[in-house]
Amino acid sequence: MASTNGFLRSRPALIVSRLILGGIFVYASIDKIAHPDQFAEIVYNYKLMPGMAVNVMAIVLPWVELLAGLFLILGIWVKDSAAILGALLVVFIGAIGINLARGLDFDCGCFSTAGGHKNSSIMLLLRDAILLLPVVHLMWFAPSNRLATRL
Amino acid sequence: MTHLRNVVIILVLALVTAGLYNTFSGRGIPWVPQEVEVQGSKPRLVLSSSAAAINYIQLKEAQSKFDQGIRFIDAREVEEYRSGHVKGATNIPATQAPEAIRSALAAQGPDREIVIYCDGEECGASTLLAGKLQRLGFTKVYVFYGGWTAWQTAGLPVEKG
Repeated sequence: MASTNGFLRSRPALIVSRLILGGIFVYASIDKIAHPDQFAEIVYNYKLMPGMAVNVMAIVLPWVELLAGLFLILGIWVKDSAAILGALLVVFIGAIGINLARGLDFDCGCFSTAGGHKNSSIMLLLRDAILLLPVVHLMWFAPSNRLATRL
Repeated sequence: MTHLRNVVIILVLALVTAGLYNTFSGRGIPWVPQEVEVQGSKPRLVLSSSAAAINYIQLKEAQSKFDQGIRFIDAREVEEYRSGHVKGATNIPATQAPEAIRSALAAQGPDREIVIYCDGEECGASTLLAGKLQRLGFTKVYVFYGGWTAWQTAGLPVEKG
């Protein structure tokens, strides 16, 4: 048990979690940033937000993913960036879960804004849940922010 | 408290970069979508373009444009198009890059009328493509609001493949 703890606390383990989580979110943000018009339609199709707020979400969300992902990769404010991405994952899980329950046919828009990516919602939920593991790992075991304590 | 502060800083940074990119990248969309009146239906929210030049038409008008031989474009994905579409319609998936759209419509004069449709009233593909066509300079773009569903239900000419 102590050795598992030691491993999770180790630098290589933390770096792997940072790169996986950060890398996935940076990758996921790029296509959305390149095609905000298409991403807006996808957000609209989730039918969870007032229509007037859809574009604000479509414009800003990918940049939150990109910046928090980059900060994680670079090792800046690791716990805070992981917390933001964790919160996004919880929101995504909620959004997909609600639409799964409603039986709505929707495009997840997770990685690409091009159509025809109707993955099974169960798989999406599972993937987002698995991505919460590095979030928990980093928030629990990452050392307190060096940059933050220095400031 | 530092954690909360850092989270706020990251979010504000994201908001500022998003705002700058949206303003200056040439790919920006309006922060607040516009509502467009649709005859005989509730207004449609146009997310991604200046709504002014998009005309929404209903089945009757679409049918009369079809009879006049005006070009129909199916904005859905290829598989959906292949399984059935308005007779004579060209498939241009709304997610295609502007260059591909331009070359698909190379023979079409920018002031000729075009009717775009997708699945039905709730689909966004036709409006998305209409916005892209506007930006490419096409001036007479109509979105057939009822789309494939209304066309099929009315028993109007269709074809497969």
